[in-house]
Amino acid sequence: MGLDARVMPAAPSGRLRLAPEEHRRLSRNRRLKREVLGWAFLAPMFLCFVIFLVLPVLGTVWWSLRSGGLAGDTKFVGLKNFIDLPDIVGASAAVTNTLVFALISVPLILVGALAIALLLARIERGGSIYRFLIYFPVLVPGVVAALIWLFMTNVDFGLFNGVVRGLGGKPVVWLGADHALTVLAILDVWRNVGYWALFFVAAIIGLPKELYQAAELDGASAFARLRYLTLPLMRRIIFFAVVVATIWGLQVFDTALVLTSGGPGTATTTVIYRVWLYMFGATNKIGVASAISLVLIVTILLLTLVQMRLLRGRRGGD
Amino acid sequence: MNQRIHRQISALSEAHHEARLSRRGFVMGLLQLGLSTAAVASIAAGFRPAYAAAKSLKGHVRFLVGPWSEGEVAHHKHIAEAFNVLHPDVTFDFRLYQWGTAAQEIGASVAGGGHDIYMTTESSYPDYQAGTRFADLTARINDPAFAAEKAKYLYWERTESYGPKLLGLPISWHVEDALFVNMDKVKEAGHDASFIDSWDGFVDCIAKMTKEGETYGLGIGIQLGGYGEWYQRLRSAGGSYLTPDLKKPNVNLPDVVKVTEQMADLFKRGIAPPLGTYGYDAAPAAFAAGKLAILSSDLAGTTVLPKKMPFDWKLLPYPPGPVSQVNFNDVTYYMVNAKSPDQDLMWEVISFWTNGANDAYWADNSGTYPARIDAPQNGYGTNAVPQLAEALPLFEKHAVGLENFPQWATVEGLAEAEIQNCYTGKSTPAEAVANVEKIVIHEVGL
Repeated sequence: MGLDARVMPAAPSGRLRLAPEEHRRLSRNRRLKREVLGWAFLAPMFLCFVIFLVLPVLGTVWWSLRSGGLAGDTKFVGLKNFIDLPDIVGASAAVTNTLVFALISVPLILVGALAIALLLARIERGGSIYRFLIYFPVLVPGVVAALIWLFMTNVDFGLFNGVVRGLGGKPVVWLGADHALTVLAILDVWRNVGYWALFFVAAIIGLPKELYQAAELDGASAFARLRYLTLPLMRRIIFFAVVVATIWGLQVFDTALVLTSGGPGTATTTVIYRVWLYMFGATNKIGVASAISLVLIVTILLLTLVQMRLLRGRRGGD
Repeated sequence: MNQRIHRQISALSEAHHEARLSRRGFVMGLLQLGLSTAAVASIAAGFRPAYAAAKSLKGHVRFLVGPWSEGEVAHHKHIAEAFNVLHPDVTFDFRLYQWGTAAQEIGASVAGGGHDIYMTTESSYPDYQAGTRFADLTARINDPAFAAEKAKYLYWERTESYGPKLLGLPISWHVEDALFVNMDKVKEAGHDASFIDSWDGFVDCIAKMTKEGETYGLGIGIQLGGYGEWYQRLRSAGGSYLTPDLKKPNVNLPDVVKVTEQMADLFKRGIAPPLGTYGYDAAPAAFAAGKLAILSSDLAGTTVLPKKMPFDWKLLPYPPGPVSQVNFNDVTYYMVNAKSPDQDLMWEVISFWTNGANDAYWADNSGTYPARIDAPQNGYGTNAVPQLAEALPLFEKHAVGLENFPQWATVEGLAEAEIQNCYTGKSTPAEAVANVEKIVIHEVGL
């Protein structure tokens, strides 16, 4: 029901009575101003999103249908780059290495992070120092981390072989074909475990205390509390961590480039490393690099959907 | 000369002011001076080479160069200082690219006009030949006035084989896989420098120099992903990535499989350290420390070895293959961006940068060989290790370059990785060679 200005009580002297059209116009303007202001605040982020994500993805789609180089002339080749992908020598090695890397690093990161988080959550004094120390490797850029590990894995004077020699063993070629991928995965665990540990600490601190008090009164052991309280209550956050850590794991590149250059042979050549190789280390292969990138994007998308589906099912349709 | 003319004009004007010279005499004097100056200038111009600066140079020159040694930029600044003595109004900026991404860094920069002068390697030359982004220097290089200078540069035949255009002036030629040999250990093993004359002698010497837990006989596979290492063996076995007409692969030959087996055998026998033991940067130190009796690497390794080594050492080529002796090397050039507005200035700069003295200076400090025949007379060898000059005749013999197709560098990178898989036991030599052939077919698009 609209308000009629004619039946409205007289406004106090000195205040203007507005006609309904004027009132509507003003509130429309106010709404518009609010909308514009909202979009203005959103604009920088939206612009960045378009420039740094949407356009590159569209560019990748465009490049994937062409042959030629980044700075040279290109020509349309249709789906040839995609059709030729299975024929690339070493493609299966790159896919296998990437999956093995993710299979080693993701479980270790998440189990390690959860264990650290459970310990950190119990520390009452000086917890911030421990949290900083745990988080510190996250602050180290990938290239620097790889250089640090280059020294640690040195056969002659590295820390790891120092320990091995101290224990009476023979020096190990850590970056040899047999161990290099595992070393890369462990390096990834070292870099990322702190990030997820803090993530989990925040979640553990937020868990309802009364449930634990009740469980203690019922005589539940620490393991039982973990098994039947902590893990189920943290399920959502753990599922999120599994999805994101897997996505990151499939994108491993910088450490592989600095530490092993994808070698020896193709022992640490990952999918992204192969993309880089075609993009920056080869002549006129940007179309192939883009095609591999798109396949990886779609694969990660599908994997994420499958993971979400599985995890949702376990939560009972939640 | 300018100062002399100025002094003479001042003398004339003073004499006229002091009434020692009539107005007519003053004007006649100026006229005579002008005529004689013009005559001298025209005679001098006859002697001036066409490639020499015709005017006072001015401008800003941006270099994009490769990191040959730790002092790369400092070496260019040194040459720039010498240039500024002649042309003080020219300023310079030097940027480094990375070897692993050189082709794309150069490609993107030259397309966007990011730099004026580029240090490029021969592996990209066939690709640049097909494009138009680098200035065509053919007319300048083939100018009769430049003929005497041109004759002092090496490898024109090879450069001209890539196509009709001459795109750059050579600065160096680089041996990609030389053997850094600890001669003390060779002698201890009962051999001398002739151990490289045959593969059997080579392997015998390496095996005898290997002491478990102490010294490996030969460090191979550490040269930037193996660049040029197996390729040299491929050529010595009569193979190549493509046949001379560039129409078919020429990789999967019995002799090629044989040399690959020979290389893989070094790892199987434990006389070469497993791949991954030493990286490109750490290997020279391992050689200097006696942990590697022989190091297979490019000549840039000479810039990081200590000046005084605790043992006698030499640079030697690889032994001959079943078909021939092959010493693979590649040429480095300076090229000019076609978009640079002052092409005359750029030509002046690259011809100065590659003249006898500067080429000698740069190569001497970069652990490589100069691309000029007059470099030794201009001081080459004063800073570099003496082993380089000593080995020069060995590497000049049987010198072979890369093949003339644009994907050569891409194929080389992928092929060496595939061959390394066989060194680590992940594939047999026959499988690895077959895979290299597939790489050639796929990358070249045969």
